Parts: sequence; C-alpha cells; structure tokens
Amino acid sequence: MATLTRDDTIFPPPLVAGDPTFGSVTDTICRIVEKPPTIPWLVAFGAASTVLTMLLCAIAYLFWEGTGIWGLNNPIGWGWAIVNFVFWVGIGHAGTLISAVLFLFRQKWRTAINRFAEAMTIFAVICALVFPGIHVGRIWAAYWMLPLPNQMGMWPNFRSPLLWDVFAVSTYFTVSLLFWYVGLIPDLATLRDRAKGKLAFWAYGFFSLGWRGANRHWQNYERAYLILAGLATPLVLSVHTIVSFDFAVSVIPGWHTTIFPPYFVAGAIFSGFAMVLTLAVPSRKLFGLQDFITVRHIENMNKIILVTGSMVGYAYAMEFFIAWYSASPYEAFAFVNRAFGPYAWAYWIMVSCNVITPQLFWFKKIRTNIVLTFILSIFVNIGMWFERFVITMSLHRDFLPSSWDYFSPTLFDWAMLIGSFGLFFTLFILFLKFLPAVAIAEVKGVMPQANPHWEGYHKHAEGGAHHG
Amino acid sequence: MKTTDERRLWRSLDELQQNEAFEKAQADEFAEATEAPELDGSTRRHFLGVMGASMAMASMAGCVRRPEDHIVPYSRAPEEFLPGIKQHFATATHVGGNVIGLLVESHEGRPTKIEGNPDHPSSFGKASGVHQGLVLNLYDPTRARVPQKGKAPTSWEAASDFVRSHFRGLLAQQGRGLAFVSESTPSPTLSHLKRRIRATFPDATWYTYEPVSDDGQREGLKAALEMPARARYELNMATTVLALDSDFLGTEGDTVANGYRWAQTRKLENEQSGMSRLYAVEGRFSVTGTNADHRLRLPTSRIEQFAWALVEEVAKLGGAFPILVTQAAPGLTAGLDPKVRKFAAVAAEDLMSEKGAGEVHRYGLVIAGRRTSPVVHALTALLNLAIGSQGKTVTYFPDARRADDEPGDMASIRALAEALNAGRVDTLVVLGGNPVYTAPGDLGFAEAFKKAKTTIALSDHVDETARLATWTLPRAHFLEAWGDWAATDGTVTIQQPLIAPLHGAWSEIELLARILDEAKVDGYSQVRGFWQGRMGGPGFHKKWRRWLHDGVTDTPLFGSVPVYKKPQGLGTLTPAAAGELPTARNLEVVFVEDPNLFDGRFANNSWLQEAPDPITKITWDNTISVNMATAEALNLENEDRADLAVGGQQIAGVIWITPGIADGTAVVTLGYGRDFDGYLPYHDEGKVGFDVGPIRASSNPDLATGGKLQKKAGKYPLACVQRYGSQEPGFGYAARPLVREASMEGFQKNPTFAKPGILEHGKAPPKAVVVHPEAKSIYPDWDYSQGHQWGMSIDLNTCTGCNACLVACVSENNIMSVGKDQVRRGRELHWIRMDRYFVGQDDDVQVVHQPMGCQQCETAPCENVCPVAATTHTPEGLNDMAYNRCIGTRYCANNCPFKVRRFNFYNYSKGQDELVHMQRNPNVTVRFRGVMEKCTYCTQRINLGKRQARMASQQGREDEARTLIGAITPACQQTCPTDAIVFGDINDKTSRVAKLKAQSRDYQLLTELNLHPRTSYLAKVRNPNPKLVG
Repeated sequence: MATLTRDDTIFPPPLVAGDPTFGSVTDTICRIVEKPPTIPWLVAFGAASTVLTMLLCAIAYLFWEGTGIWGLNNPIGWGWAIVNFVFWVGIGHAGTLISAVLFLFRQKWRTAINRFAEAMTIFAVICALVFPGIHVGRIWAAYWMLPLPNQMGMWPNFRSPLLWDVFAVSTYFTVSLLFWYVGLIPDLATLRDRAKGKLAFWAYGFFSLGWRGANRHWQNYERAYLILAGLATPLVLSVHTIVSFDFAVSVIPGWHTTIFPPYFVAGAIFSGFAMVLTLAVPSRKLFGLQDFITVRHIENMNKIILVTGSMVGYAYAMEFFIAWYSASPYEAFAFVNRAFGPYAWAYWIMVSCNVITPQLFWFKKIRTNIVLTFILSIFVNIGMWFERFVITMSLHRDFLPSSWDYFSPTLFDWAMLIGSFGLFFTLFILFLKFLPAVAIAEVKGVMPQANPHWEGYHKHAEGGAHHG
Repeated sequence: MKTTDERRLWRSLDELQQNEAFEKAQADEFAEATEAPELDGSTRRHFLGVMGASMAMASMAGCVRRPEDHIVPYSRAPEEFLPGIKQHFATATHVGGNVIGLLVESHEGRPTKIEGNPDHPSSFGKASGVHQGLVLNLYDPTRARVPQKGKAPTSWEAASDFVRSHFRGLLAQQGRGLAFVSESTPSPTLSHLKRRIRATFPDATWYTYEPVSDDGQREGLKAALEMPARARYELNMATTVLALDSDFLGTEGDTVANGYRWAQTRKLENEQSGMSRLYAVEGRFSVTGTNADHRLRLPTSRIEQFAWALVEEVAKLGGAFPILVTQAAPGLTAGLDPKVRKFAAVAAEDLMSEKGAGEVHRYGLVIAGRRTSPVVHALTALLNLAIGSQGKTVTYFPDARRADDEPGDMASIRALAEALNAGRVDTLVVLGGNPVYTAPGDLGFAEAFKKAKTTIALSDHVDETARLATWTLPRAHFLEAWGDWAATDGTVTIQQPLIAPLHGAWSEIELLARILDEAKVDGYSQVRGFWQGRMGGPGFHKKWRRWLHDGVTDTPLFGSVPVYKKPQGLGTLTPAAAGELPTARNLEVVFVEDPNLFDGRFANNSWLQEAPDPITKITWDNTISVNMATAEALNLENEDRADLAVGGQQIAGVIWITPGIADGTAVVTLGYGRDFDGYLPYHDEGKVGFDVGPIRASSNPDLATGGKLQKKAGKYPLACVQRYGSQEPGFGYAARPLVREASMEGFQKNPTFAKPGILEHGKAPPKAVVVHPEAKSIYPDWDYSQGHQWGMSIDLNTCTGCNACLVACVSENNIMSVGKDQVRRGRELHWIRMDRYFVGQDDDVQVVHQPMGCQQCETAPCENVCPVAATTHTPEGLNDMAYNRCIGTRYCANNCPFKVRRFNFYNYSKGQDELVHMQRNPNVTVRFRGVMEKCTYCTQRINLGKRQARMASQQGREDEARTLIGAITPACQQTCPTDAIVFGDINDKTSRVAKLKAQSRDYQLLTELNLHPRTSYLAKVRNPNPKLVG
C-alpha cells in the first residue's frame, strides 16, 4: 500500500497531464474529428454496423412473426428483452452520475470523461428503449402505453409500473439528451470555427446555435448547465428505482422485494462505471487521450466500482436474510432455488463477477493497472447482465410447481442481445468521429492555465512561447 | 325577447315537461339494441342496423379488394330457426362399441360442439374428452372426400355402379369368397342389415373386430353365465368397489356414466356424510388407480392370482362359491406375497361387510378390467354373486355388439387373416375401422390384406387400410348420417345427422343397403324403415319425431339378463398358474388404449393430441413407461430412445419414468405412429409417436411377457406439459398446501382441516395448513354484496383427472392447438389445465388432480400491472380480458400466481383450413397473435343466461328468470362427468355453489397474497381402510 504523499492530498496532481496549452488541447481533441477516418476506425465501424444490421434483421423478423421467435413460454413471459432493457438502462446511470452529480459536487476530475460518459448514457438509453418497444405482442399498438387523448376516453393504467417506466425512461432520455447537447454547444462552435468543408461548417454551425463565446452566452450556458445537472441528479435515483418497481410491485417470489430500489440504483452505477471503463480504456489509447483520461481518473472510477460493488454484494446477502426472516416458504424457496436450482450456474456467475471481482480494487496496484481494469470491467458488465437475468428468471419457479418450466434462449434472443451492442457501438463510434470526445471547454477550465494566478504565465512569457 | 342562453330548446312535449317516462327513455337510449332480439323478432333498430351494415359492406367492397362471396338468403327459412341463436339436436355415437347419447350444438347449420344428453343413461348430460373432440373430426380437412379406385379419384356414380355390378356378380355364387370386417357396432339397423347380408350371401363371412377388445369379459361371462354378456355397474349404489386392473373411470366401458354414478358416492356434505371406498389393483397407473383409496401395485399377470386370493378370502367370510372353484383356489394362490394377501383379506372383509348390512344402497362391487383374463371375469361374476351384488350393483345385459355365435375380436381378426392367406377371400369389405394399422403384428395383416382381389374400404381417411384397398369409399361422420345405437342397457337412440355430408360420404348402413341392392339406399329410409317395421303402426311418425327430439326411444332393445341366470362356475375355462414375477430384464409389456386417441382413430385430432395424458402429462406422443426401479436397473432416463423387443419383434420408442407402475412392467400406448398423410396443425414431423402394433400378439393382445428393453443412443424430445409433478418443491422445503387432503378419519376429527391457520410471530405453528399472514391492501375492498357475483367450486374429491373439461373448454372457446414443438416450448393455450401432483414415496405414490383455470381473483394481481388496462374487473366479480385492448406485454401472466394466463406467441390460427373454421363458436373471439387470453368462466354463456333471464323478468316471470340464472353453466362444468365443477351466483345463498362454498372443506389457494379468488376448492378426502394403514 502506497503511503499518502503531500502531493496527493493537499496538492493533487494536475488533472491534465503532459503540460499542454489551451491551443494544444483544442488541437488534440479536434484533430480526431477533422482527420479523415483511420483504418482502425473504419474496421471498428464496419464491424459494429454489421452487428447492428443483424439486430435490425432480427427485429424485422420479430415484427413479422411475433414474440414466439424468442424462448419465452407460459411461466416465463419476460426473457432476454427485459434483461437487456434493464441492463442498458443501468449502463446509462454512470454517465448521468459523472456528468451531473459529480458536477454538482465540483469534482473537477470528471471533465475529462463526462462527454464520453454522457454519450454512453444516451446510447445506452437508446439501446434500452428498443426493447420495451419491440417486446410487446402487438407492436403496432404499443403507442397505447402513452397517455394520448382519444375518442374512447381510454387512458393507460396509471397503476402499472410499466407505465411509470414509460414516463421515467422517456424523461431520463430527454433530460440526458438536453444535458449532453447543452454541454456540446461551445465545442460545436469550436469545430464550426475550424471547419474546412462546407458541410461540416453548415452542420456544426446549425447545431452550435450561433455560439460566439460572448460573456452573455457563457453566463446563460453555465446557468442552463447547472439547472440541467440539478434536474438530472434525482433522475439517477428515480429511473432505476422505477425500473426496479417492474419487479418489486409484482407478487412473484424473488421479485416482490422492497430492497430493489436502492439495490438497483447501486447496481446501475456499478455497471455504468464498468462500462465507462470498458469504453474509455481502449479509446484513450486509440485516440491518444492519455493526457486527459489519466490513471487517476481510472483509479477514481475503480473506487466507485468498489463501493457500489460492495453495496450490490450486501444486497445479495440481505435478500437471503430477508427471505429467511420473512418465514414465507415461497420467498425462501425462490432464493434457495436461485443459488442451487436449475439457474445456479447463472447465479454463481453473477456472484463471482459482481461480488468477488470488485473486491480486487482494494489493491492500489490493481486499481491503477490499465489492463487489469479493462478485464475486470468486462467481468462486471457480464455479472450485471446476469444479475438482471437471474432476477427475471425468478418467474421460472413460482407458486404452483405444476407450472414450472425453464427458459432456453433461441437464436433470436442471442441476435438481439449481441445486436444491441452493435447499435451501441455504432452510435459510439460515430460519436467519436464526429463529435469532440472530450469536453474541450470544460477541460480548459480545470487546467492550471485557467487559474488567473497561474505561475506559468510568467514562465511562458519569459520563454516567449505562444501556442494557439 | 330572452337571450339565446336563456331560451330553452325542446324537442317534444315530454321533454319540455321533463316527465318520468321521458327521462327513462333518455337514459335507455340504446335499450332496444342491448336487448337480444331473440324472442320478439327483429326490431326496427336491429333492422336498420343490419341494413346499414350491409350497405357499408357493399360500399367497402368497391374500394377494398376482398374475396368475392355470395350470401344466400333463406328464401324458405328452416323451421324454428333464428339466425344467431344456437340449436341443439339429440343424436348418439359410439367409441369402440360404447354408445353415448349426445346433444349437439348447431350454429346456422354448423355443428360446433358436442354435449351429453341428460336423458341418456350412459351420458346423464355429460361427455368425455374424446366425445367432445369428435366434432373436430367432422371438419378434418384430410378426410377422404371422393371415392378412389386404387389411388385414382373417381366419381360417386362410378362407385355406385361398381358396388351394384360387383355384388350382383357375387349374388350368383351365394357370396362365396365375400368377407366383411366391421367395427363392433351395437346398432339395430346394422345388425338387421347384417342378417340380411347373411341371408342374401349365405357363404359370405362376417368378422367383427375391435382392436381395444372386450374379449376377456365376453369369454369369461360366456363361461360363467352360458351366454355372452356385458356388465353394467350401478356404482352409485356401491359402497366398496374393487377394480381389478380396470380403468372404469378412464377408458373402459361407459366411462361417463361410471364416473357420474361413482361420484354420487364420493360427494361429502359434511363430516358425517358417508363415502364409498375404492380399491384398485393394477400394474399400470390408470386414472381409476389415481382415484383409489388403496392401490395395490401388482404385475398385470398376477391379477388372476389376486382374484383367486380374493375368492379364498371372501369364501372364508362365508361367501358361497361353487365347490370346484374353492377347491382350485389354494393351489393357485400358493406363494402369494403376504402383503398382497393382506390387501385381499382386507378388501374381502370390506366387500362382505356390505352384504345384508340391512341398509339400502350398501353393496360391494368387483370390477374386472378388459385386460384381465376370462378366468378373472368369471371369478368376478362369482365374487359379485357371493357378496350379494349381482342384480344390485352389477347387472348383465346381452351383448348387442355382435351376434351371440360370433367369435371374439382377436379370434375374428385371426380367422380373417387366415382366410385371406388361404386365398379364401376374393372380396373384402372393410366397414369402417383400420385393421391394417390396428391388427396385432403377429398376423401380418397388411400382407394378407393384399391377397384379396377386391378390397373395399369404407374409411374416414385414406389411411393405412384404404391405401392398400382397391376401392376407398369415404365414410360419413356420425353427424352426417342416419343410424341407431343401443347402449349397454339396451336404450336405443336414433343417430340423427346435423349436416349433409360435407364432401359426400356413405355410412355403413348406406353401403350395406347398396350391397344388398335395395330400392332405397339412403340412411334415413333404412333406419326409419327398420324402426317402422319393428314398432310401426298408427302414430309412428309422431313417435319417431319424439324419439329424435328426446334422443332415446320408448323401449329398450333388450332387458337385463334374467336374475335366474347366475354364474355357475368357470365353465370350460382353465385357470393359469401364476408365472414368474417380471423383472427389469424380463419385462411384462402392458398395452393400454390411449385416453385421448383410443386405438389411434383420433390420431388426426389436434385437440385430443394436445390433451395431455392424465398421468404422464405428455402430449403428441406415446411412451414406454416404466417405474423408477426398472429405469434404474436398465440405466434409463426420461426421453431416452429405446428398443422394446418381444418375441422376436421389436419397436423403437421413448422412455418415460412414471411412478406407480409395477416393477418390471413396461406400459405402452396404442394409437400412435400412424402412417398416413394427416393434417396436424403446427406439427412438422409427420409421424406422431410410435406404433406398438408389431409387438402385439393376437393371442394375448394386451399383455406380453419376456420383453427386453434396450437403451439406444440419443434422446427423443417429448412435449410434457408438467415436468415437475410434486407439491414438495425440493431442497427440503415442506409441501405447498395446494391440494389439501385428509383421510376420512382425519376429516371427521377435524372438519376444518383445509382451512388455513395463520403463522404468528412468537407462537408455535398452528395444527392446520400453515400460511403466511395475509397481505393487506391499502385500498378499501370493493363492495361485491350486490347483484350477481359469479363463483366456482371445484370438488377435488370427485375430480378424476379425466380431461373432459379441458377438451370441452377447447371446443367452446375456440382454443387453438399449437402443436408439439410449441407445447415443448411451454406455450400450450389450454384455459383449464389439469394439475397432477404425486404424493408419497417412490413407487407407492398417490396422485391428486387439480383442475386449474383462472381463479377470478377479486383483487387480481394481473389487473393493476397491465399498462393499458386491458384486463379489468366487472361489477360481477369477473376478471375480464379485452382482447382488442391488449398489446401483449405479458406482465399480467408474469404476475399471475396461478400461471393460468395464456399468450398467443404466434398467430396460431394462421393457415388453418377453412373447414376447421366451421367448428368455431361464433360467440367467442378467435384471438390474434400477441394477445393474452385466459378462462372467462364462459362469459358468453353468462351473458346469454343473463339476457334470457332479463327477458323473462321483464315479462313478469321472475321464477323463470331465477332458474335461468341458476342454469348458467360453463363448458367445463357442463361436461364434467362427476359434477366436480359447480359454477353459479355466490350472492344467491340458495345456489349450489354458495352452499358448497359454505362447506367446511372449502378452501382457496394462496390466500396469503390477499387475492380473494372466486374459484375455491373442496379439499380431497380419501377413505382408507384403517386396517391397511400403517
């Protein structure tokens, strides 16, 4: 264990490494967008969009044939579609947490990764939104879930958690999108100003809303950003709380559990941070952003994974305790069945990935090891997918043993799961190429140069060096 | 002048004066339309509605491409016919010689549903699953439609010409070389024609062959009574019943009447009520065995030894037997297992205790199954005489299925095969039946069949027999043809057609009339002519019409065998010494008729294919069933492929482990592996199951010894709807209180044994069914104290697990068959399912059945989770489904604690032949893909009843209105042979259902979830003999 040094605590190391100037920051980040696509980028995009095409084909076949193409059956009415939905919504949470909550808490280290994380949120929520839409039996009538006035005076059922979901997730998506977009405006203007092509000039110009960097613009911008951060913060808690109600409000043993809301939120943040790491570690290497996303960032995120992972582990234990303490035979059976029944394999994958893996981050050496972090983050992603799978599969053995059955995924279940990653990565790869992956304006704000009392002014003035 | 706002506009004086009549009329703006125009003819509004709709349809036809259709009006409407109102007609049919009287529902001339005829003594208004399924056979798209000469379709004229000229040719040679083979058909007209055939063609031979044979009983009773006879059981008078390998509640004999009568002795009003006791001795596990109070697992070949032991024990208690019999018994029961001996002794004591007990209606009864040997049947007759039951609980009747001098089924088919092989048959007429498929394998019947020069098959399908025949003539379905049937007790019913043959077809009667070259060959003339000749005279037409209306004729065809005819002994029968006990390496193979497909004749019926086997719960397949011990000895697991070899022949089958089968016994089911181009919706593998015919021998067609089971590589997937069948869920968890059961003694000690006892903190668990304290709702309870409140009570004591309700529900509610693949995926759509749980240890298990449909919870968990409010509650306490509103989130099904909701994962009605559409109930929506469905308590019947009651009430007939409400019956209740299901208005405290719910045995499932289900169960009570317990 490394001892705390003076530098670490009182004078934290700089948030941007390599001592860049404002100009070099702009250059580094904008160059990714302005350069023609690289071969690795094209390969990645080609692969991701191929997988996306598979998803689209699978969805088309689903629309044509019906939900029978999945492995669903009579006791198990929800399968991988709902598992994927909860998984992707959860992923989104880290983005909001990083961009909004850490913003409100003035955690300046967030600036390097917040753009990234927010983009991830948006794309994850898009992936999530696909599933509730397509999993219904009569897709053409899915819009009936919206409270649209109609001549029959027929409203949706406001007592249904699925309806709460519609509101919760759509609100979350709207706020996240606005938050992300508002944050992008100054950087879009930068890109507009540097644009060489007509199309780029027109497009970035259109979306930068006439940003000129005026004082008034900055004032409005800061205020809007603060308000949106304030709006987004409760959503971090509410969205997954409501998603957890889908299960907790039911009467099914293994679902009907009051611990679900906090447990789901912790799990969501846990999985979200793991996904940020899964994306950030290769991206920083690929696009040369090591100076912005430093080891310190990664270590901080690993600490959050450690905390939330422990919370999730505690929830697993508490579920068992409550199942025993409740003296409800159905409840107790549901949990023992989870650990030792036909889905024991899934349960133990979940426990090893979600409880054991994050405990390794107690060690600083592991926390700061980029390769290990990447590998462990993938384990957490797998574990969290299985957590949702294990919960959903509580359906397979409920009250009447006569109805018990087993869920086996079909080819189309796999196609949709893998395909959703295709959708996510296609969007993400496009984002990396066409938008600034790091918030340029905000990063500049946390650089030493942003401090009016920065001693380097003198140094630079003496040296006479000018950058950008 | 007032301003516009103040001026009052009015339309009529009534409105201006705001009188009472006007207010009422305004409130009831659509009153006319909501009333059914059933009795008072078309109303103006109705007329305009129809006109408007027709106009709209006509104009739409111009802009949307629709198939051109012609509407043919009734220029002369049939009598007593109102469009939209269903009609019922009485008719009858038989399955394997067991006749049942039926009422058939008809919509606009389409027969849609089969129900029992309350006036018929083998129905009592009930029908079995098989009977319910018969209506689908009518609309089977693969029925034979046109006559075929060889494989070439030809015309009916050609067929008529052929029959006429061919049999005219045979007339000259006295019918030499002519043979007939018919099913066992207890029809007076057919028997009459048969006698005329014999007179016209004296040298012709007639063979009667039924693959599910009653030879044992026929031979046994012939020996004992010196005349062939059939037994009829008055089970309602029997207090002790002993079934010797008999499935009298499942597949053997008049099962519907048996179930109905047996249930009379099993209904309990309170703890003081008496109840009959049922002993079963069998090697397989039958439906009857599942209902037994005591079941002795005994190899089928040892049943005869058991019967001798029983004779000994009854004789010990003073039962009188012929001296030869009592002398023979000790030698034949030597070395009997003491456990078996004890069982026989206790049962004998029980049977004898009823003799002369001085009370009315207290008699014992021994029933021997059709698989048992003639000796067992003769001994059973002697036993019933000895215990004083003959003429009381058992009555013998002449056998109307064949002439007295005819040999039995197996002897007949063997003789036919021999005659064919010897070249003695030139022309063979197959009158229904499918002997090429059903004949035991040792006869090589298919090869023999080909040796006849001319073979004429009157057949439902171009089946195995028809494909080898030189002529195939489509046979008329019983709903298409005239006929007549005599039930076991001689009651005659005229088989009245409800529809003209859909594709053109002849009945057996019509073909025989043609062969006889009669002037009038139509069935109506033949049947009516026969009865006119027999019972004619003045007023016959009136009589005839009454017979048709009632579904029974005035006088039975014959009476019971006179009481002086008492069994005298074993006659010419020789008892067989008990052979070696079967082992896993030397198996005893028991052949059982399938509870759904019977001998395979219903193999093309998707309802029956998809109805699960009552014990194994397997659909769409048959299995080689063995018990755990046998399976372990042979290293077999479920779904293993295996070869079963008997006497040099072998078949390939699939293993299913069924508890309760005797050690060293393999049970195989007839009727599968049919090899014909059938139409089975959503079944893609062509063949269904495997044919066990090849290892069947005509000498002993239902039991083979020396079987060898050889495991093969690979698994064969089976579609079992209930793979997990115990109430104990595993991991050492206590049994779930789903089926609550007590012994008679326990019930008397604690009449409220089924009521839940709440587990309270800090207190010892109550001595009752322990449940968690009920969850509390934050909402106040809805007031259900007003109006009709529908509820259901299901008596687990009388439910036999027979599946009749399940098929009736399929028939009534247009429930799609989904096929084997979908059933395997767990997507069957049955609204009511039969939950079967095994109770007890290892192989000495008991079985409990629990019919499970929507429980119509008052606080239904399915309702609040639906995001679009597609499932909501009615003020009458029903949990309704609005199919139109459902978007298919399946959340309701997930949240249903009973898992009774069914989802249309695909559009299961897609691609079905239009013919099948004709069966559908027009009052029930056919559900589309993506929609949830479930039991509605037959809401269409409730609404019909309410409409009729309202009409009666409006006309001042309040009593009738109450009767009409009381008469509302869902399809499951209507057909349940044991009346285990009772539905009604629970607010009406005089209704049967309200009284049943007030019984101490009444309980609801999962009360801890605060569900308030409207369906409750009456706990099961078994009546074990204290002497056999422990």
